[in-house]
Amino acid sequence: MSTPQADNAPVTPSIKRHRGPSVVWLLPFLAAIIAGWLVVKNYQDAGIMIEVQFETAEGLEAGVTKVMYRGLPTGKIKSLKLNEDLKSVTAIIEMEKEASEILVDGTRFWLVKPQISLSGVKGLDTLLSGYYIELQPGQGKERFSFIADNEPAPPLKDRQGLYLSLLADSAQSIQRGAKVYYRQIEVGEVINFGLTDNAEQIRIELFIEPPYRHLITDNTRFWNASGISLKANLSRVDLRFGSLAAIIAGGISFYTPPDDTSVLTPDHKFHLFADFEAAEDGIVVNVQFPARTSVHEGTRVISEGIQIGRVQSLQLSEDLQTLNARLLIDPRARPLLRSGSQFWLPKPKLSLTRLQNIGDLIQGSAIILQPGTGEAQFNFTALNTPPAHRPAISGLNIRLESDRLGSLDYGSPVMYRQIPVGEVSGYELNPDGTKVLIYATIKEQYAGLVKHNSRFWEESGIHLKADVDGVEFESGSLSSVINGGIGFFTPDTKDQQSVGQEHPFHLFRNFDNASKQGRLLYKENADKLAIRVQADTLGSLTSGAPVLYKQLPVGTISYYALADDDSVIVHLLIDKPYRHLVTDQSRFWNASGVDASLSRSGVKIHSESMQTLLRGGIAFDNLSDHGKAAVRRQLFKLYNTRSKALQKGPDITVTFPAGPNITVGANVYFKGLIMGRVEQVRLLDSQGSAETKIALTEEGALLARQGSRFWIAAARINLSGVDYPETLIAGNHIEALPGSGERQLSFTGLPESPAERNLPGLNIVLQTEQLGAIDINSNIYYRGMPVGYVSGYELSDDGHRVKLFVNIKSRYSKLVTKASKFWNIGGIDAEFGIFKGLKVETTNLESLVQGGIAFSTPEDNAQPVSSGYQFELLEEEPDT
Amino acid sequence: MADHLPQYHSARERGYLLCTDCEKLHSISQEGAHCDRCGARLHSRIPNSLSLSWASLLAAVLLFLPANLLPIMTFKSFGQGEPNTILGGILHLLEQDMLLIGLVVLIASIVVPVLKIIAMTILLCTVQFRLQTNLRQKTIMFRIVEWIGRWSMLDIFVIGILVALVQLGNIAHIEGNDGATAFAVVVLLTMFSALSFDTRLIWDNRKPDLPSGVSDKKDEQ
Repeated sequence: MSTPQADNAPVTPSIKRHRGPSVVWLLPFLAAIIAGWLVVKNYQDAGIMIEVQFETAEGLEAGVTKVMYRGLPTGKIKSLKLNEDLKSVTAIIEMEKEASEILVDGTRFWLVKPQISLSGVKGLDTLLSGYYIELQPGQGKERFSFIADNEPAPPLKDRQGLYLSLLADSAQSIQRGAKVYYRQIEVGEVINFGLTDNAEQIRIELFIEPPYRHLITDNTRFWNASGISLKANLSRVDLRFGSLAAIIAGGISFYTPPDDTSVLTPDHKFHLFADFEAAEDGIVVNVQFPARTSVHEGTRVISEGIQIGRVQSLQLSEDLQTLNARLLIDPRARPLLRSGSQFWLPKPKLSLTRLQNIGDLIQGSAIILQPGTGEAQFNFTALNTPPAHRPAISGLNIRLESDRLGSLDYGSPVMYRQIPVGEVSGYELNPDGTKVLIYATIKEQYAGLVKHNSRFWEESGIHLKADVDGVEFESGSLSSVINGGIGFFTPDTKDQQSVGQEHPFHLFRNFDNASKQGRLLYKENADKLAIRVQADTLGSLTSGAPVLYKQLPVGTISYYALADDDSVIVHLLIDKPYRHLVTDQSRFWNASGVDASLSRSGVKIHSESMQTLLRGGIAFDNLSDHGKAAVRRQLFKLYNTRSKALQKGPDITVTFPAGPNITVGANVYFKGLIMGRVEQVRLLDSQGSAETKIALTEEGALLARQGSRFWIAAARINLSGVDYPETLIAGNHIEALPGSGERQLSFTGLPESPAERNLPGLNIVLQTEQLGAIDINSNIYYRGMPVGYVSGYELSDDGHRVKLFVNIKSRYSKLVTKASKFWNIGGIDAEFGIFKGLKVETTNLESLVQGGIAFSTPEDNAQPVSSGYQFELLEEEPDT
Repeated sequence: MADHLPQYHSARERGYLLCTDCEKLHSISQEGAHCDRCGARLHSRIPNSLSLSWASLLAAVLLFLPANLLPIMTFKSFGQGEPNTILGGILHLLEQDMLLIGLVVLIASIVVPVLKIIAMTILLCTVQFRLQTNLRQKTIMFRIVEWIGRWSMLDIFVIGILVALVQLGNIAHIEGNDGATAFAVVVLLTMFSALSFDTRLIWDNRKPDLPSGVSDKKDEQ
């Protein structure tokens, strides 16, 4: 065998003896230590197995459901098994090793499920993590087998804060977890409740959070703030509720008297009152009411308008004659409780004044306490009715004598310029029963308004104008309209004397009486101009309605009265700045309502103002600016309409024969101008003749002359057009032609338009045998140009000829001379000859239709003609 | 059982040794020296192979207990979740009808390490107690063990990735536990055990004419 190392020098291997085991054996040793340590540690971490018996395994899950203690997982269900009795399940729970100390006698286990309610969400974590088991450690010997509770154990009283016990008669809507509120803030909760040992009351355990523990003293009063408390009877509805959470989940509120200095004694037993009112404190006062008094628990006690207490309880006496009311009076009102103090219950009434304070309606009437002045006293007998005459603590007491009470009542206001300054405190008959004595109290600050000559009136009844205007602008007085009240004013005389208490006054029936028709309102009227207007009827005028000048209110209607001659005299007061506006030229008219007129220019509706539309009013205007200033109490006539009032011309009467209709309001036109207006139409006979009364305007006065002619213009449609087309819409009107004679006020109307009219320009007359095609409005042509027209025609007096009235426009009047020749160009002029053939001649289409007249004037021998000159109308054009 | 193997001589018997890194043939006299080609240290047999292998295997077996008993990771979602042991995780997967993934994890995490430990034990026992049976199959088994060993780290890789990725706070998060560490060490130790095992020792024992004591002693040196 040859080896490679044979070539090399022999190497002597140096052999090192390795003693002991190799270092590599440290590795398994180390691994053993680590593994051992891990296993040991694991074993040490392994929990304690316990058994907890549940009624049901609902919500329990092996390997999932945990045991929590103060929010810390302390164990987990390892397995579940059904017990032999088939009535319960046992959960094998592996608890953390650290939990061994709490696994003792008395430790309670219960399953926590999510509870979502309006008072809060409990166990919200269970929604995600599933149900878990909560435990509450007890004290005792170590133990590994438990029976779970069905409901959470009451919390341990081991937190910072205050634990309290309340005793209550009922646990109505109180439940575990219900909140305790202080001024609606959550300050604690109910941790447990149950029957007391003798089962007569409920003991409720509260926990108050540490920050609020100082709020509780021995005098703290707790009440059940749960749910909605609705106490209702006929005169009283009391709805009270706490927070929404408290409504649903129940709750307890408390308050501590603010000036309370006591401190909480340990183990102090509080009482839980049924409601807020029951918890209230106060001075107990016993008042005996007549048996039928409609007081009830909670009825308020009021003194001088301030609530000072309420009825706590009621008890009927044994003889059923009296009702013993136990009142709780605010301690601050203690000085009011003296001998001489009077209690009474005003009769409940539903009136409009009460509506002003809806609270009264809901709260019902209250017991009224009238303080006395004697010794302190706590037992009283109530009055049957309010004392008629009670001394006011403050203010001026007056006595009013009246022959009737009217609609006055207790509390009816006494008004001064519509401001309530006092109220009626009582009333009674005088001893012999002939008068009613009404007692009223004027508030202190207004007492100076009452003087010895003050005049009081009853502001009751309808005369106070519950009209649209009143409702709208003076709703404050509406109550006095319906409920009654007393008004007063003090005439401004110099000998005013202030009055003392109990001064007697007479109560007048109304303001007019009290003020002697306003005459006593010296000061108010001093700088105003009082004038009178006389009217046939009052119409819708009311006193207080405005007097308008150019739609500006310048005064008021003061009052009105019937005059001896059966007319109505309305008294007006014109305000000082406008006094000068009223002159003897002033014309007054009733501005109430709407004045609508229809005319060619359309429909015109006129009303002075919304206010006058609603409550009436009087307007006036001056015919001229140069009138003499009106004197006081000057009498004016009140016209019905403005136009009537401002009419400057005279009234004329025109009698029309039967013919076209004419109606009231139709205008009288002359040259398209309104000259007057038909005021009245009276039928004279069965034929239809009518007598019209026409009010002429200032310009229209020229119609009131002898020779004036009137006729009714009605629409007429003919070939040449429409006459009076405007009457188609506005109705017939009257056309007038002024005469020139003496003044005359009575006329007879024409049955139709007059043929001969004095029109502007040259009026001439043409005579002809036949009217032919000529008609009214047929044109007069000069060299083919219309220069005038036929304004009318009539038979001559002998009936042989026809007279055509022609009007030539004034600027063409020179064209007509005495030598002028007129001929008829109406119709068609046709000539026929064998050699000429047919020759048709017409001037123009218009004259073809409505006829026409042409004329020519030789240029020499020009003698001008005047109106009325007569010409012959030729049948055809003369040969020149 | 007789091995029907051809007669052969090992390199050592012929006075050679092979560089295990670059496979250059050297004279046996260069034992302990460096390979003149690649510079690797030359050994005709891995020194202390048997001791290293045994020790690693033993440590692996010891740590295999906590690796399986302790939780390897905790998966928490919305505050819920439990530490899971390897076996618990596999059962969980199987419960969820994720059969394939369950099987893969089962094979990679339980079957392979156990088989590896068993295989190494058999191999080491063969050398230690000079057993002569099925030597060839044992060699094949060693190759399989060596190849498959790396897949046991699958679990560890998965845990490593998950712990790094799933950190969504309260929604979901995963944290590794002690079991994972132990398991990783088990895998490393078994791999080291296989690495330090010199398969040539199997065949050294087979030669009846070679005094086994000598070769053993040399091995131990």
